[in-house]
Amino acid sequence: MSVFDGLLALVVSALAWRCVTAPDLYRSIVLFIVTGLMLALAWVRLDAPDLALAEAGIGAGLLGILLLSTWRVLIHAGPEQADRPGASTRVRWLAGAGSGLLGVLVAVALYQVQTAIDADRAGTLALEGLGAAGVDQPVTAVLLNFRSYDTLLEMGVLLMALIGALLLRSPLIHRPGDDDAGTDSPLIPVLVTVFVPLVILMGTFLVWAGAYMPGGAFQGGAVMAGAGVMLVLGGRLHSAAQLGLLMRTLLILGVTVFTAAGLLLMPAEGAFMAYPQALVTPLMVLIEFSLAISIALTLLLLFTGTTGLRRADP
Amino acid sequence: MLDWLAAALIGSGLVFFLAGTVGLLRFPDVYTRLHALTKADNTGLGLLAAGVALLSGTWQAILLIALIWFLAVTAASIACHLVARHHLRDEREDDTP
Repeated sequence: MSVFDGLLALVVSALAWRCVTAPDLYRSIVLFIVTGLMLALAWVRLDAPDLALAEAGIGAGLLGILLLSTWRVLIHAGPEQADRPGASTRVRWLAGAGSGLLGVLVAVALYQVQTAIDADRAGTLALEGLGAAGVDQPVTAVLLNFRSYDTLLEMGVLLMALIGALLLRSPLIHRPGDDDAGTDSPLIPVLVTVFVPLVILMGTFLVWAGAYMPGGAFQGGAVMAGAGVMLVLGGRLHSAAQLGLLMRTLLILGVTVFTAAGLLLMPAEGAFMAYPQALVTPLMVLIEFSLAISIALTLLLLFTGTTGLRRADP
Repeated sequence: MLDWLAAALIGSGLVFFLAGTVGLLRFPDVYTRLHALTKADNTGLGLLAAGVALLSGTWQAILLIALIWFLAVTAASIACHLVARHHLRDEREDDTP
């Protein structure tokens, strides 16, 4: 373990502690985002770039945006809503113990990864079966093929979460436009026109890259959702009360394609979600892209808190 | 020789980052803090990127680093502009109730 790893473990635990004990909500949210970024750095040090991308994109990025927009709604409802009493001594001790433990765990993990990895694990089996998986990246092979049931159910959970959030949305609607500084700034069109295509390109690449290097549907979908957030904040996309047919279709695209691929090949293969060797690679790519599109739209709708989106009037 | 040049570039980049952070912590209001942060950090990032590009060796990596540098600088400048603009508006609203 290098000096850098030791510092990283210290910083992660200090940030986690401050995140709980910070005197106001806004500071806690910012500290939470920074903690997420530092954890992503720790995953990089642990040679787990897939997790680092997911942590940075979803854990720090999109969750941070969701927390910040919730904070804004609270501030608008009345500044006292966003106040909170300072952490009590007991909470401080508990948070200290928890974040200290986190720091120790990070340090132990960073120390362990330098030594040999045990051969007799599930990971070895996955690596041995990689030839049949249709993709060269072990993480994607596990997610989309070896444990595809779990991933399919995760997509269902994500859809359920969105439906639940939309049912509860009325007190949490963020209405862009009424007081957003910046939509009238001359730099916003520059930001939107330069960055959004690049971000979408990067998201698409991450999904595609999932087949042979770190990346995948969740990471790419989160990046694409980030482009959508930029479009909403930049005033190019507005909330709409109705969920159009296209949006509904895209929302369930992932679950539908995943299930259909499993069911339609059942007569030929004899088992749910068993794929013929000749078709497995194109199927993986197809499933991966449909998952990414659904994930991106779900995360974006979680951010806007509305059932639909429409283009801004020119 | 190249290594030393790269080390010098990265080292001076870090000095700029340090100065920017000290400015952020010590300056009195939003505008001076933004000034310290963006000017010093953008210079620091440029030097750091130049140093890393020297070490990377391949032109593909150099192009990627240049692209990342450009995106980071653009995003930071626009973010700085938006923060300053928001703060200015808040101040004006406070003056004219």
